[in-house]
Parts: sequence; structure tokens; C-alpha cells
Amino acid sequence: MAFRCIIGQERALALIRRSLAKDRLPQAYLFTGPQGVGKRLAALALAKALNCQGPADGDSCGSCLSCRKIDKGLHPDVRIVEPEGAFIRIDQIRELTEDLSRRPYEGRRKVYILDQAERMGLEAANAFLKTLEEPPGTALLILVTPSPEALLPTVRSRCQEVKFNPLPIPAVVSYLERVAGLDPEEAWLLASLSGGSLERAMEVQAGSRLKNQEHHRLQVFSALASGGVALLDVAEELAKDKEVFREALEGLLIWYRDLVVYQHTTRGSLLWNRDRETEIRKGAETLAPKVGMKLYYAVNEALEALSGNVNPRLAAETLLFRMEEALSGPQG
Amino acid sequence: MSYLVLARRWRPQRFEEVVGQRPVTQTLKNALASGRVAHAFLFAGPRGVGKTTVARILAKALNCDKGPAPEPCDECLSCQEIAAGRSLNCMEIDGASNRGIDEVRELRENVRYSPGAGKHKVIIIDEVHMLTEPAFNALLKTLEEPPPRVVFILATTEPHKVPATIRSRCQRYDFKRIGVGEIVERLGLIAREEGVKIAEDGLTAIARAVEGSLRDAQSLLDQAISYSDGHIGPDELQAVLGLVEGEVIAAALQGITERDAAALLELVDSLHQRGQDLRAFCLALLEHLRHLMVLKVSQKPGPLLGLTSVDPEILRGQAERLALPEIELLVRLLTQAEQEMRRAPYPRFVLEVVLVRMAEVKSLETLEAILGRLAELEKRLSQAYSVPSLELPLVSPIEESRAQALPKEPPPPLEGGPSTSPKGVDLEASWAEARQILAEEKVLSALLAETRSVALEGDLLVLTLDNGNAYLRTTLEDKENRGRIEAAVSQAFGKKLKVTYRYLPPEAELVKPKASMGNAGENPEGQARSLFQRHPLVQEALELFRGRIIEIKEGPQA
Repeated sequence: MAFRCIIGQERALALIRRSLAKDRLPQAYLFTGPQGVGKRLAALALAKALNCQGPADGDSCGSCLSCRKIDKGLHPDVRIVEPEGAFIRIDQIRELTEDLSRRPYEGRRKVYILDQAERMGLEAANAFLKTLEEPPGTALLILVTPSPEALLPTVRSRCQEVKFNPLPIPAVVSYLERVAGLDPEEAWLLASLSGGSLERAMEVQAGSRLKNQEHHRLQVFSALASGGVALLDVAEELAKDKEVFREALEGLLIWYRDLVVYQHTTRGSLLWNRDRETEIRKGAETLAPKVGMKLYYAVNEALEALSGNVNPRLAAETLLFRMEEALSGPQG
Repeated sequence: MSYLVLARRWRPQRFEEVVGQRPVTQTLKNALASGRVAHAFLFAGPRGVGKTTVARILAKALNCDKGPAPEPCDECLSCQEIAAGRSLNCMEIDGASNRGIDEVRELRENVRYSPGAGKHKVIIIDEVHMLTEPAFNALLKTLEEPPPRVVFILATTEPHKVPATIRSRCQRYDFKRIGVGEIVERLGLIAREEGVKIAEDGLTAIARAVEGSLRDAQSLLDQAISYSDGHIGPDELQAVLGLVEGEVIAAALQGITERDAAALLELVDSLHQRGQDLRAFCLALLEHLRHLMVLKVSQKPGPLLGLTSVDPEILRGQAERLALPEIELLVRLLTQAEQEMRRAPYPRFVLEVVLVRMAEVKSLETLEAILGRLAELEKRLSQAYSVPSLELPLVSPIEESRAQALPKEPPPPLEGGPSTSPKGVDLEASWAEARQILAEEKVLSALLAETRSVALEGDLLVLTLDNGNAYLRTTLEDKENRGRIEAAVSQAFGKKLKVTYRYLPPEAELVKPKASMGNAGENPEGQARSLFQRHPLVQEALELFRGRIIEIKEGPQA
């Protein structure tokens, strides 16, 4: 992976590549931005460009020994530190710090990539501070995280932060068409569902996830239509698997978001589920705007409850009853 | 040697170079001059304001070949060794990495070896808040009475995590966040030395983004220099700081004031298509609202406005179109959304929904207006009770028909004094008698037990009941039942009477009438309550605050 292969991050890459070209790289970078938009790839591309034996135009060649080793994860001077279990542990940081003081084995510059840096435990993060500010030798540290708020401010302050943006939808679409060979319509749907994350768009199960979401949505709708015990039955089924439940909720969230957006704009092009415009229009016409909003909030709160470790069954039941209440409330 | 970032290259080497911490540096210089340097210090303060830097300068000043002097010479061997981190007399320990009791024991061993003649041994423990409790305790004795010529400097961003026993043994220095002006000055100096052109307001933009941390500011300047080709303009700053264009923000606010949710949603869409960071947009919009608030409140808003990328004309125009409470409400909604966006799976949705709600704010009446109208309504209502002719404003059709059914003159009270009607009929007693007659009719008498008040209007006996369910109403209205009741009533009152029912709204029962048989047909509080409750304005208020009516107070004028 070289800089030229990363799509839709012109600004971030320009920041990095210009620093590289002028030999003004900091000792520590912090790459932030949503999941799956190219942060880790950019970190690897930088490592390759720094160590490449035949770089051209500030980018790696991709064919020299160094590049190939990095691609395969075999380069002794380019290492990726990832959480062991839930956290990046203090031992990992200590080992890294020790290794930093050694000269590069074969490359020009040691590069350490800390993926999911927000998972550094408090002790690990504090133990890292001194190294982060004044690392021995010539090493480059790259911290990668989707949630910089979760890092200690003292850690953030010691790094140069480069923000990666969500990928522009057209960029994802063209990538899916070009590289994954999807037909335009499918590419569009997956791209808009991805929230600007190529990783999400490329997930193998993306297609089946869509089907599941639709299945659950229809289930919920029919339960709401019949009411009573049917609601409890659906709640029970939804709550069986937390991940499935979360997916179903996200599907519902998208649905009601579309509803609200359509009620206010009546423009199909703003919809997430563009292929469902007719259904959404029907829903938008039958429900009062306030009710649409209430339903959106009900789903949103259920999602939050789920993240807050509320009993899924309870969350599901509360959700369905709140939705029923919203639907039976005054339509004005 | 690889590139050294500005923050490290420009680390101050003398007290006088330290920016924005004059109380600290001046005290230390005085102590050095008078030879009254304490043996233990605690440096506390936020990140990147100079704690470690000042600790190192203090170490140099104590050990300087020409000292101890108020300022280190920065030329002698000792000063250079300390600056390079090679000195044996200055140990810098990372408290977070060496946090256990074993490390502290080792340190205690170490301080027992006295420094060379005329020198001090300075131990800097950075991130000291990370020491374990046993480690802190092991340090206590040494900290209170260290061997001669040993100085401890503990530095931390979180002094509250340092045990009180440690804190009380140290001289504490609190480092402040550095002001925007001082940061701008320092950045300007660095930029000049680095041979980079940057306008003053560019420096201000950086200084304002870093919450008083000079290191963060230098880091941003560093990036901007790397990104630019010798001249840092708005484009470079935009790239480094991720600023949102003023036009976008102004357009968003226009959408809000004009209640144009569609335009707002399209704006979000275009930002998203471009890959703009939506949270940055959210923060920029918040700042814009803050500017509007400043314009509203302040006589001389100039200096408070600081840097804004929005055209001042537009800013003023928008400030005129919004009321202060509206701005407050908008800020509250947006702040909440910004928080939520941090962890939401689809931050874009959060923003969209909140913008739709913000567009509605303008169409809602402010709390003040609602309260004002409530007070007005109450005033008119209370007048309605005090004057004979009942003029009930703002009533729904149901209320209206009821109002017409009400007597032109308030019927006399039943209680308080001899309860007699104008014709000398004892209403209460006769009603009790009628109930007696009806005692056989189990269902009817049970239903009539709920009667709140009884009033006589000519040939019409008015029974006021709680808001009954459908069953109650149909049963009472039933022709046969009505006949039975009228028969009983006529018998009890000794004359032919017709019966009519009135029902209180459900919540009326919350307000317990002081006299249940009071002003016949009238339960002022219940009536007022029902009027309030049905009023669209009140319903809007209840909806808005997800509230319920607990108490109705009379306005000041009433």
C-alpha cells in the first residue's frame, strides 16, 4: 500500500507527504478519523516511503525488498502494536520503549504504529508520555485512533494530529465499481450505507446485513400493527443476539432518519436507502413529522441503552412500547 | 539526526524565556538569589505549559558553574550536560514507567550518594501522579528530610491524584494556561526565526485552538510550516486546523432562522459528500452562535468576538433576527448533539435531526412568551369568575357549549352558613333524600356517589360529576335510568325536576375542591385547569418540556 493507492484523503496525505518531503516529520503522529478510511494504510505507506530503497516522487516503489517486507509484516524496523485482548498493555509499551533505543536493523528509520491507540490503558499511556515526547534515536511513532477524545490530553498534546475525513461517497462508489467490480446501483447502496468507511462498505457480510436489517424492520412493523403480545414476541427475538439487535436498530435508525429527512425535503436524493423511496414516501405521508421524530428518538435511545450495557430484552421491550405509544399518539 | 519539532527545539533554556508563567519563574529566581531554595517542589498544571521545562531550568540554575544563580549561564559544562540529559546531577525519572515501590527504593539508594562539591542532585519525577500508593509512601520520609543538597521536583498534570501527605511536603507551584496574546507573541518569534510568513490573525487562530497549551500551538505551527511553502495563509490554516468556511456557517444559521429544514439537510449532505468533518462543523456553528450571543449582550462586542470568518454584516443581521432565549435554546440543542456525535454510529444523523429541531425553534414561542400568555389567560379567567357574565376566552367548542349552559348568575353556595336555596329548599338534604330513594338501584347509586356538586337552576337539577368513562355516561344518559333519577329527585325535592349532568375533565380530581358541594356547577380550579390544559399553547408547552401541569399560580396582576 502506497500513498497513491489511498483514496479520498488528499488533505491528510498532503500534510504528511509535505512534511516528509521537507524532512520535517515530527517524532510522533496521531492519525484520527472514522473507522476504515485509510489511517492505518497511510501509516504503513509512510513507513514504506521512509524505508523504500527506490522511492519515486516521495512515494514508495512497492517492489523493493523493504517495501515487500513491510507489506508482508516482516520488516524488523516497522512494527505494529495492537491491543492484546482489550488493551494495549504497559508491558507492550515498555518493550517498545526498549526497542526504540536500538538502531534500525536494516531500514533507515524505525516506525512504530500503535493501532487503536485509544485502547492504551491509563498506566500504559502514562508510561508512554516521556518516550512520546522525546524518543531516543530516530524512531517515528504513529498513533492511530478513531476516537481521539478517549486518549489522555497529555498524549494528544505530544503528537502532531492529522485528521482523516469520512470518505466522500463518490470516491467510495468509484472504488467499489473499479476494484470490487460491483454494478453501479449496488455500489451506490453500499457506499451510502458505509458512512464514508471503505472498510464497512467492503465487509463481506454487508449484503447479508442489509437483508437482516430489512427482515427485522418488517418484523417490527408487523408487530406494531398487531400490537400487544406480538410486541413482546418480537422484543424477545430481537434481544436474543446483541449484535443482531444492534444491526436491526441501526437499520431502523436509518429508516426513520430517512423518513424525517423526506418529510422535510421530499427529495429522494438525500435518502440513505435510495432504493426504498416509494415506501419511505408512503410512510412520510401517513405519519406526522413529530411522530417520525419521536420514532427516530425511540430507536436512538435504544441504541444508546445497548451501548450502555442495558439488558437487551428490556431495551427491546421499551423500544417497541415507546414506538407503539408514538404511533397511537395524536397525529398533530 | 532526524528533524526536531519546534516544541523541542524551542524549549526555553532560561527562566526569562519561559512564556506566561511569570509568578512561578520570578519566585524561583528570588529563591535562587537569596539561597532559600526548597528541597521539594510540586509543579502542577495542564499539558504543555512548561512544567518540565522549568524543572530543567531550575536544575541548571542550581548546578551552574557560575551559580547557584537566578539564571543559568547555559554555557558551562554543567548546563550543557543537563540540557542534553547527560548530567549525573540531574535525574529525570518517568513516574509513569517507574511507578512501583522497587523503583522508589532504588531512587532512595541513589540519593544517598552525595553530588560533587558545590553541586545539587536534582531529581525530577515527571507524571508523578502515576506512582503507586506504596511507592508514594516509600517516598515520604526522603521527601521530607532528604540528604543535603538533594532537590526533588515532582511534576504532574493531575495534582489531585497526588496524596495529601506528599503535597504537604512540597512547595507547590501552579502553572497556568497561557494566554492567547502570549502564545501569539511566542509563535510570531518562532515564525520569524524559522523564516516563515504568517499573518497575525493566523497566529491568533492557532492560539485559540489550543486551550492555552504552548506545546500544542507550536505543534500546529510546525505542521502549518511543513504544509506551506514559506507563507502560511488561510488555506494552509484551513488544512491544519480543519476550519469550516464562514459562508457555510452563515448559510446554516440562515436556514435555522428561516425555518428551512430542507436547506439545512441539503447543506449537511453536501458537507458529507465533500468529506468534511461534521463535528468540526458543529463546533464552528456553536462558536458562531456564541458570537451572536456576544453581539446581543455586549455593548462593545469587538474584542470578545475575536476571530470570525463570517462577514460582520451578516453576523449583525443574524443577531437581529434571533432573540436571546432562542440563541440559548439553539446552543443547548447543539451542545447536546455535539456530545452525542462523539459516540453515535452515524454522527451525520445526529446532526441532521438536531438541525431539523433547531429549525423548529424559531417557530416555537419562547418560554417567556408562553408564560406571558398563560398569565394573561389566567388573569382573564379570574376576571371571568368575578363578573356575573361569564366571558370565557380561548375555549374549545366543548367548553363553549358548557359555558353557555352555565347560569347567568352564580348559584348561591351550598355550604358555609345555612345551606338553603332561594326558595328555602335544603339542597343537600334533598339530594341525600333522593339518593336514599335510589339506594335500591345499586348501579345508579354507585355512579351517583361520584357526584361532586349539585345545583338547582329553576326546574333543572345540575349534577356535576368527575370525568366519567363511557360506561358511566351512557348509563346515566340512558332514558330509563334518567327517568328513575328524575322521579327520585322530583320526589325528594317535592317538585317536578329535570336532571342534567356535567363532567369535570380527568385532572380535575387532582385538585381537591375545598368544598365539595361548593359553588354549584362550578369548580373554579378544575375549570381553569381544564381550560389551560386544552389550550393549544399549553399543549405545545407540555410537549416541549415533556411536562405535566402540577400547579396553576395566579399571575401578579390577578
